[in-house]
This record gives sequence, structure tokens and C-alpha cells, in this order.
Amino acid sequence: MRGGVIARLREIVGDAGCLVRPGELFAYECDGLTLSPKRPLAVVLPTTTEQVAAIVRACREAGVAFVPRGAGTGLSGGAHATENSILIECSRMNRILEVDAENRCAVVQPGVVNAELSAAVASLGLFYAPDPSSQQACTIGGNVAENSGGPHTLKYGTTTNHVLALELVLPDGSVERFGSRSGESQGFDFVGAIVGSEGTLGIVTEVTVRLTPIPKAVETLLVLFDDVVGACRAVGRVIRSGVVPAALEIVDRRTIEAVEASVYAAGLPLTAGAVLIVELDGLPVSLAGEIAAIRAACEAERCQAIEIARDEAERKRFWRARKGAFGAMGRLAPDLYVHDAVVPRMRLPAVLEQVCEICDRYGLKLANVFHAGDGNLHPNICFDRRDPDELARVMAAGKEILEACVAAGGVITGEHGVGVEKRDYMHLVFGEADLAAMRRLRDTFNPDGACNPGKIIPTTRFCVESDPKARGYDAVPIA
Amino acid sequence: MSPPVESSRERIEIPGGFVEAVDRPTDVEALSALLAERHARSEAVLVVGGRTRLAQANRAEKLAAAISLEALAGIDVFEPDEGVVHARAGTPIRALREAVAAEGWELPLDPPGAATTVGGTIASAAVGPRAQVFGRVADAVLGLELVGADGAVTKCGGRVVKNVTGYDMAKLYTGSFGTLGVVTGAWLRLRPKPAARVVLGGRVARDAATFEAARIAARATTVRAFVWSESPTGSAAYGAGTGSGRSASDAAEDSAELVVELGGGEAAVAQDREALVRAFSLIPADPLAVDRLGDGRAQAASAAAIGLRARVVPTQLDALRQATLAAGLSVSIDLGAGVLTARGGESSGAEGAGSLRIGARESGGASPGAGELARKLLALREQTVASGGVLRFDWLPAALAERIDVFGEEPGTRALVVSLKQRFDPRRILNPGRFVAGT
Amino acid sequence: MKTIDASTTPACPSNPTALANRLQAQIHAKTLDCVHCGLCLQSCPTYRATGRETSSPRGRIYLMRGHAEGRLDDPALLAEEAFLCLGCRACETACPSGVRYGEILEVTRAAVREQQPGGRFARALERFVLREIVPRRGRLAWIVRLLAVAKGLGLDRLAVRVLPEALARRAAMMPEIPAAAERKRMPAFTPAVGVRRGRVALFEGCVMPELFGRVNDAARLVLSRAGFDVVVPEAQGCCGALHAHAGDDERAKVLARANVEVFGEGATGASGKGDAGHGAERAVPGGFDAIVVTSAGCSAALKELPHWIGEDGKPLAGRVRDVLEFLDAEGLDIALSPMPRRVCYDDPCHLIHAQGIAAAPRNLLNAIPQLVLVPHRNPEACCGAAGIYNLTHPEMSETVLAPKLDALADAAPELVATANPGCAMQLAAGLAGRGIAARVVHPIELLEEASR
Repeated sequence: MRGGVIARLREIVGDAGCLVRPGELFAYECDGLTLSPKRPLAVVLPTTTEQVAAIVRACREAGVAFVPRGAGTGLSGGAHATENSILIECSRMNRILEVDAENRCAVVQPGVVNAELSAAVASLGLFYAPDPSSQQACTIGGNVAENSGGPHTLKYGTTTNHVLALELVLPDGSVERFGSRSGESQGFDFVGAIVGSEGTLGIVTEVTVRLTPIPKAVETLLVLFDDVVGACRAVGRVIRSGVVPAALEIVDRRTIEAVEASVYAAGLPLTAGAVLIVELDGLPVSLAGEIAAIRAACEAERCQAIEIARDEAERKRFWRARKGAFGAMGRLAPDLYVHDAVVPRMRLPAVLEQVCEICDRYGLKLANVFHAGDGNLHPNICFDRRDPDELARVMAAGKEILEACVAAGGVITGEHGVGVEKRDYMHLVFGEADLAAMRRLRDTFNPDGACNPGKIIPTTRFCVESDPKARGYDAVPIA
Repeated sequence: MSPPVESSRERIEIPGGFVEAVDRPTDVEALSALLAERHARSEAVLVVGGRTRLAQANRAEKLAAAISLEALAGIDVFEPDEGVVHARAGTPIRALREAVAAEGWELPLDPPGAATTVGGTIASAAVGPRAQVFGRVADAVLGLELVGADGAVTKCGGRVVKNVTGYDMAKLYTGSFGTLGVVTGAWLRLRPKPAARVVLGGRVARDAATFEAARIAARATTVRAFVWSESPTGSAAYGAGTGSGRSASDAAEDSAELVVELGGGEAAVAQDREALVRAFSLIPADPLAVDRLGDGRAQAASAAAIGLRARVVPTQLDALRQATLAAGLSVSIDLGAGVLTARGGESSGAEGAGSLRIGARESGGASPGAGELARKLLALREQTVASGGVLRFDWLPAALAERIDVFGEEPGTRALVVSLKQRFDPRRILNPGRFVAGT
Repeated sequence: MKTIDASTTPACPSNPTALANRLQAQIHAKTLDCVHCGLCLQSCPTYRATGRETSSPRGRIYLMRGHAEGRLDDPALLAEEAFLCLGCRACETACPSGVRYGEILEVTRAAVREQQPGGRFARALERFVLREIVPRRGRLAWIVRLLAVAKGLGLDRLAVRVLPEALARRAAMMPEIPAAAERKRMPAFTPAVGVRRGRVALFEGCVMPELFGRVNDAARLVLSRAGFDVVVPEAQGCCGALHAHAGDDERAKVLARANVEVFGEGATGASGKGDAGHGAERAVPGGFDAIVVTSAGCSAALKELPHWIGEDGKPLAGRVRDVLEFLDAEGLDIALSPMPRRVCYDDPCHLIHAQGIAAAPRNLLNAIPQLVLVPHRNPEACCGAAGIYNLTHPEMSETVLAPKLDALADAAPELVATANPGCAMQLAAGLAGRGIAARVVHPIELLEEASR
């Protein structure tokens, strides 16, 4: 049967668009999450909606599951194949189909790269606002699947706030359009439900996105604190002050040490216990007052120093401390586990203390960089997966961190998604009735689970699934 | 101790039907038990809150009773340092706005109607004139608690401002007119109250060039609401009242009325105000003018009234405005958001928007019947949808309500909609027939 | 379960364990620096052209790592992808983890060559070249010119073996390389003009004197006008970069050691010639303040000599400067006459990605009065030349070049400036092919003209 489906896929996308060699499948065994890799049966690279629909129908006929993939930068394994599934790689669907400057929107294929969309519309004075840290590589299709955020979501919102309409290949191979260029739907808000569904409701083949005017002025401040608690308190004061910064990011001492020891050294003093990066944007006439408010908030928490970027080069240097953190951490050990959880903003200091305590207890190397304004934590744990004992400690600590965040009123992921990574932690946040509602939505689109099986919703350990077929693709290997 | 459910005899009329019994559960458990009971007996219910938009939905199937959420009210959690609030479904929006405003926050919801509730606003996704800065209702919703058709108590989302833990179910529930579950409480995101706020008003020429200039001006950073109101004859429409003390004869001139609200930092507001005053000769207006305008959109003046709401891309706004005026309706347009509300047919021949009535005599024409009027209105919707927008009817006279689906349908989604309803409410007990595609 | 579709998968031709062992020993630790984040993907010309993970830096590193760890046995794919890579190292600029991709690529190429001596891989390439190059007469002339140079360097040991017989025959039929005037040897010593600020050695390179003698000469003149004594050591040779990129690390090491002899610590380059009277002022090791290079590929390779030959390479590597880098750092300090031209500057990969030099060429060009630097899209993207890549992978090379030509066509400059011979040839051929009139120059040529 496999030979049959591969032959059919070759007819659809040509030999060059269908990858089956061992090394090719090996390279596609994971995305940004390298844990729990799975090699697909084949990788197909369509270029059109029609090809995607034909691929889906071919998979259905062969009884083979299929998994959509963008650039594979996701950190929760949302684009991991399952055993015997076909990976539908959207990287060749990378055309910007239309830019409507006057109505501030663009129609793009899913493989268009986030940062390249912004670059393409910059001359019109517009940009695409969601800016995940992987924006230079990640695709709009992947952003839609994950409802990606980024440092500037504090002011601009996440992907869901910027998607107006979608074209979707449903798991039965039909093609439907949802939403409208005006941003509203006639009936149910299916666009809102599809954004963030991690490719489990179908395969997005066209996205109409909102474009945002480039702010007239930007100011970036770097504020040094004795410790991370002071920085978090300052964030609270900023939020209370009525100023809505474009970004409020904190880098802790352990991260500063890693960054300064790396090629991304931003010249941060190692005497600082935490760095707060504040970005303000908007009308030039407003920014002076906002800077004063930020200054007051930070001084009230006895910051060590406040620097304001004098030019673009300095602004980039400030951000290097934030954006280089991930890479700098990566050099400390072969593997890096980037966690993602959200807590109410005011609970940040207490939760951070708990997170540090947990990692110390497990003897793990930890550093924190986070979107403080959103309460979105990213504890990074460095480890070596070849050491099974350390790997076990990483996983155990990870679970405790999530439990601590949920206990503080938070959730287990703010922007990386559930995927396979956190699927079995969904019970920390949701009860069976809550998950049953999610299953109803999934089953409306994807009744037998053939589309990206095994993601988001835990397999039925604690409840009886109404439709027994819904579990089929999760667990049953296909002959 | 009050009983868990207060029941009363009371008649509530809606398009195509009525109920004569209202149950008011006082806690979630009581609501759950009530729905489980109705579910077991396959008895359909009408879910009501502040009853502001009961007319703004399709004709209902047979209903056994109404369930009112008004007793399930109150603010459970409000942490001023956090900028989020949790309110129960029956909480009046107005009370919630006032409560958070006292701590320097603003609820980014300004739906029309003095009595409208949190639950009703979420169910109908109703936005007001400040949609260009407040966004959609769903943008303010962080998490929801609901009771399902079978009485199951569920939640979705959370209390944090950023969350991708599972499907974004709140998007699906918001604006679903209570057909998938009954919202009992919501975590809502707040925004800082603007440091400075200014309301301006005035009358301008109602030509395309002025309209275009106003549309561009509405994009200024501190504009919170920018409403253009106009009747087919150029007389006063929607009656916002700019509070400018102009005489009735001024208002009757051939002009459009502008009401603008600015908000933000002092300096930025001053800058934008100056530009607007210069461009449109605006003058200070009643600080509540925008809210009054919004409330004016909430209720039909009579059973003969026609009302609609459309949202289109900015470049299509003028074409839709002209088509709507040509159909005999008065318009009130939120220029920044691209939202057009229109109404007509309600007054009885007095000067104003009285020409659009079933059977009314149009100048030089025959009496149009309900059929022709329906075609006219549906043509407006076709035009809107074709140009990338949406249009629904807020209210219709009975003769039209039989012919027109209030919401219209997105092509191709009917099978999904039917399947969705079947999975969430297989016995069709929640507001059956009221929403899109017969749900 | 790995052999899902055995019919399309070539069997491993030789010893997989030896390949794994070599990769494990030499590069495995370096592949672990990659955290699989994927930020490199869009910087990679071959990923952009194919959309394939295996043709991306992350994918290639994963293939290398898979072989090193014995988890994957597909050396044919590893070899294809290692050589499909342009070696532009744009991924190193994009990488947040500082993965030293260029280094591990060279080791991988050498390792797969060792395992597949001239066999299947070469034949596959030969077929490719036969199909793609030979029929294209327009491109042949300059390819053959480059080929002739390559032969003269002994690169034929590599390149010609993988090039088709038919092409080699055509090479033989080609007339001698023209422009003999450019090939005349430069003076071994050129004294500083005016106040003497220092003493430098000029590294000639292999391709440069053959095809771009005027560039080296321009560098010599500008350096001397800027106040530097310029020594051109006669015994110098090729830097070895092309060999290393092609997987011939042994030959590259031999060439590297020879250059250490000529330019390294203690070498004066004077060898009895030049002006002995300056001997007293030789305060710096090796007698040179810097070893100045006009080819970005060569300057990058020379700076990385320690990767090839360890400590021995450091004294030389530490003093290597690209000519533009050197002049920008030292200050030009000469009067420049106006040159009202519209110029696009296109970054050679080996200058911007391998050496991180982007501002210096632009600063120098901006110093010329009335010269207008015209921006064009993605000046940092690879042009597809990549050493002998345009011989071995002409189709991909053209695919990579196309968006560059689009960008230049839109910018419509009079001159295109770039600082590497391979890029200059590739751009010149591409522009001519499109009928774009812009002439390709090295920035130092413009500086020379302006400083006359």
C-alpha cells in the first residue's frame, strides 16, 4: 500500500517534490523540538492548493495519516510526523499573492516567511506585527498553526489578532474559505478556531493577514536591576502606569552570564542581576512622557541604571542581549530545553523563585529570558540527552515547573503550542469536560484524526471517546 | 437563602415566537441541573441576558422557556495590578466599566444598550463605536466558563493574557448566539484608561470627497471613535446630539454629522484634535456623545423597523454607504473600523428616514412589496460580501424576517456548521434556529 | 524499517564505519552546537531554491550528525548535499549558536571524498555537467577560462576528474587566456608615496593574477599612495581555499604551509630585492604590518589557516587583512577626485559571512566624492559563484543568481562593485546574459581611479 501512495504522490508533485530516501526522512524526523523524533513515510512538497488537496485525498484513499509542516521551527513538536504518516512540507508555497496597501492586508501562501512579508511591505510603510523570535525563518502557515506570539505581542497581540481570512484544505480533501477581508465572519468564527489549532483541523493553504502601519518613532530602554524580583516589580509598575510598551522583556543573571561569554556579548555588566528591555513606539510627541513614566517605575524599584538607545545600532545591541540568549545558552550544552508557560504577571517573582528552586533541586543548569509584560516565562534548561539520568531529571523538573505555573493561575504554554511535547500535561489545566469540547471541535473538521494525529488532545486515558474511530490514527499502526 | 432557581411567568417575544416562562438560576450548579433536565426532555430554551439584542437573530424553533442569566451576576476577581477582571455572565457591562474605571482601567467593550450584559455581549459579539481601538469582543476574552447543552460545566482559555494551551475555544463560543453552550463567566482583558479624552462633533458636507477625507482622518493614532452619520435626505440621523447647541434648522441642512472621540497622552490628543478641528471645523461635544450614538443603534423604534450592520474593508465603505442610502436607509459609520450600521422604515412619514416601509409609496414608483424590499436588502448583502465584507440584519419587520436569513452564510461552511451544532447540542435545545445555517 | 523504498536508494558504496568514525572524531562535537532552531534556513540559497530540509544548513548538519552517531546510513545523500552546498556561510551569520558550519562542511566533504574516490559521485556530476553546461555556449567561454586557471593550479586533480571529457576537449581547443598585459608580474617592491605609514605584503592569489591582474595592481597603487610600502613576495602560492572547499584537505594543507613559509613570522618578503634601506624600520614580526589580500575568498581562507594546520598558521592568519578592511581601518588619507557614478556594492559571502566585513567597502566607496551607492535587495545573498560551484552545479548556480540579477536590474547601476574574483565573473556573465549594461569592478579599482 505504501508503494501505491508514494507512486500517487509522485504523480501529484513530481519526483522532485516527493522525498523518500533514508537520509531525507531522517532530516525530517523532528522540528525545533528534537525530543521524540519520528521519521515520516515520505515528505511531499506541494506548490498549490490543488496539489495539497490531491495529496490529502491520496492519503485518505491509502488510509495514511498526514502532517503539515512549515519551516519546522516549532518548539512543541507540532510538525513531528507520526509512524507511517506523510509529511506535507509547505516551504514551496511561498508566494505573496496580493498586497492591498490601502486596506492594510495581504494574501499569502503558507510558506511565506514571517520576516520576509514585513520586508516586502516595508516600502509601503507597513509591517506584519507578530514577531516570533524565529521570524527570520518561520512561515506564516506555521504561525497560524501555532498562534505564534513574540516580544511585541504585548502591544500588538498574537497571530490570531492579525489573521483575517483563511483557505483550508479540510482533512477530507475539500477546500473551504473562512472569514473575510474585513476580519469578521458571517457565522461562527472558524478563523479564530483554526488559528492555533496546530494543523489538526486541516492544512492552511492561503492566509489573509492584517498589515500594521510602521510606528513613527521607537525608543528602546535597557534597565539594569539588582535582581529579577526588582525587574518584575518594575514591570508591574509599568503596567499600572497606563503606558503600554511594545515590549517588556527580562533577561536574568544566568542568561546575562551566558550571553556575555558568547559571541553575542552586548556589553551588559555582570553586576546586574537582571536586565529589563522596554520598547516604546508610537507618536514622537507621546514618547517623552512615556519614557518618563518608565523611568519613574524603574527608579521606584531602585534600578541600577537606565540606558536609552541613541541610535539603531545601540537598539540592536540591547536586543542582542535578548535575542542572542537562546543561541548563547545552546553553546553551554549539546541540548537545550526551551520551556514556555504563562502566569499572571504579578505572580512572576514568586513563580521564578520556584522555578529556580526546582532546577537547583534537580541539579540542572537554568536560565530565564521572558516576555515579562505578558507573564510569559521561558525557563531554558541546558542538558545532554545522551545522559539518560540528566534527561530524566530535565523531564521531571519540566513537569514541576508547569505544575507551579498552573498553581499560580497560569497555563502550560503561551506561544509554543501543545504539540506532542505538552499533550499529556493538558490535564494540568483542563478537565475531561473541557477536553471533550475540544474533541468536538476537532472531530467536526477531522473526524477520524487522520490530519496531524496525536497532537494537542491527550489520548483517551481518562474518558471514553464518543467516536471510537477518532483514536485510530493516534495508536494503530497502518499495515 | 434564595432558591437556586427563581422561576416566573413572563412573556418574552422574539422573531417568530415567544416564551412565557423564565427560569433564573442563581449559581452555575443550578444552571447545570436545569439544562441537564431540559436536555433529558429535549426541551429547547431561549437564553437571555439583558435582552438587548433578542430581536437580532433568526426566528426560533419551538421553545419551552427562557433561561435568564441576570441572577448570575457580579465581579468575582478584579486585580488592578494585573489588568484583568472576572465577571459573571449576568453582570451589566455598564457596571463593569464603572468598576474597573475606578482603578484606572478601561473595559474594551462598548456594546450598544444600557442593560446589556457580559454574557449577552459575548454571545452576540456586539461591538460599539470604539471597535477601531477595542477590536472584536473575542480580543477581550481571555477565558470563559460555560455550561454545555447536557449540563456539563466546562471552561476554556484562562486568566492570563497570552495562551495557546489547546484550541482557542473562546473564539468559537464568542458570537455563537448561545447555540453551543451557555456562558456563565468570563476573564476579560482590560486596557489602561487614556490619560486624556476629548469628544468633538460637527456637521460636514455629505459628499464623497469629505467622506474620504474623514476616513483617512479616522486613522490618526489617538482616534477611538469616528462616526459619520447621515440620512438619505441629509437631515439629522441617529440623533447623536453633539451637544453643540445648534438649532434644529441647522441640523436639518443637507449635511452629515461627525462625532469623534480621541484618547491617549495629552500631547498626542492635543495634536490630533488641532488637526481635526482645522480639517472639519469640529467643536467640543458632549463627553457621552459616542456612547449615546452607540446606544441609539440598540433598539428598533417600531415593529416596522429595518436595521443592519455591515463591516467592509475601508476602500469599499463609500460604495456601501451610497448603496445603503440609495436603499432608503440612514447610516451611522464607524470609519476607523469600517463598520456601517443602518436603519430605516421605523418612523411614520415624518421628515427623516421614513421612506422605506413596506407598502410605502416611493417617489415616482409603485408600492414595493415585501418581496422587492427583501431583494433590495439582499442585494446590499451580496455587494458587501463580494467586496470582502460581512452584513447581517439587526432587525426586520415580520414580513421580511420570513424571507431573509439574518446572518447569511459563508459559502461552503454549512456542513461544518451543522456538524458542529450536532456535536455540541445534538438535541437542539440551545436557542435552536436562531443562528447561522439553522443552528 | 529504514529501507522503505529500496529501489530509489543507492546502496552504500563503501565503508560506512570509516565515514562515521571520521565524522565522529572530527566534527561530531561541533555539530552539537546546533540547537536545531532553524534560524539559518532562509539564509541558505539552496534551501530557498529547493525548500528541502536536507538542502539546508540545519538539515546538512543533522545528516552529518546522524552519520557520526551511526543513526543514519545514507552516504550518497550526505555527499550530494555536502557538495550542493555553496559554502557561502550565510548560515553562520544567521546562526544564534555560533555553529562553525564552514569548518564542519570542509571535513565532511573530505570525508565523503575519501569514501567515494572518484566513483559514483563524480559520474553523477559528470552527467549533470554534460547536460547542463556543454549545451550552453554562452556560458562556456568564461567557464573554460576559469577551468584553465583551475588546471594550472592542479585543481584539475579534483575538478577535471569530475568534469566531462567533452568539456575538457573544448578546454583544450580554447585559445590561450587573453589579457596577457594584466598578467605581467608586479614589482616586488613599491615604496610608499609621501609620509610612510607602514609596510605590507600583497597576497596575489591564483585566479586574481590570471584574470584580474588589474585589481592587484590597483591595490598596490592605492596602498602605496596611502603611505604603505608594498612587497609582493615572489614565492607565494595559492591559498588553498578552492581545494579545501572541494574536499581536498591534504592539498590545501600543503599550500597553507608553503604560504606560512613565505609570509609567516620571520619572513621579510624582501629576499634581497626591494629597498634594503627600510630594514631598520621592520619592527613587526615577519616584517609586514599586514598581509593584504584582494580576493575575499583568499583572505577568508588565510585567516582560517589555524583550522587546517593548527598553531603554525596563527602568526600568518593573525596579520591577514582584506584590502578593503585594511584601508578602512587605517584610514585612506589620500585626496580622491570626484567620480559621478551610480554603484551597487554586492557583498561577497567570504567577506560578509566568513569575515563579517560589510561596512568597510561601503565606507570606502562613500568616500569617493559624487559616487552614489545605490541600494539593491539582499546584497548579502550569495551570487552562486562559490568557487568552482558554477562548474559543478550550473543549474543551482543560476537559480541562486537569478534573484540577484533581478535586484540589480531594478537598481539599475552603472557599475557593480564586488570584492571577489569568482563573484565578479559570475555577476559579469549573469549581467551580460540579461543584457544589463553595468560593468563589474572591484572597489579598489574605483579607489585607484579616484586617487590618481
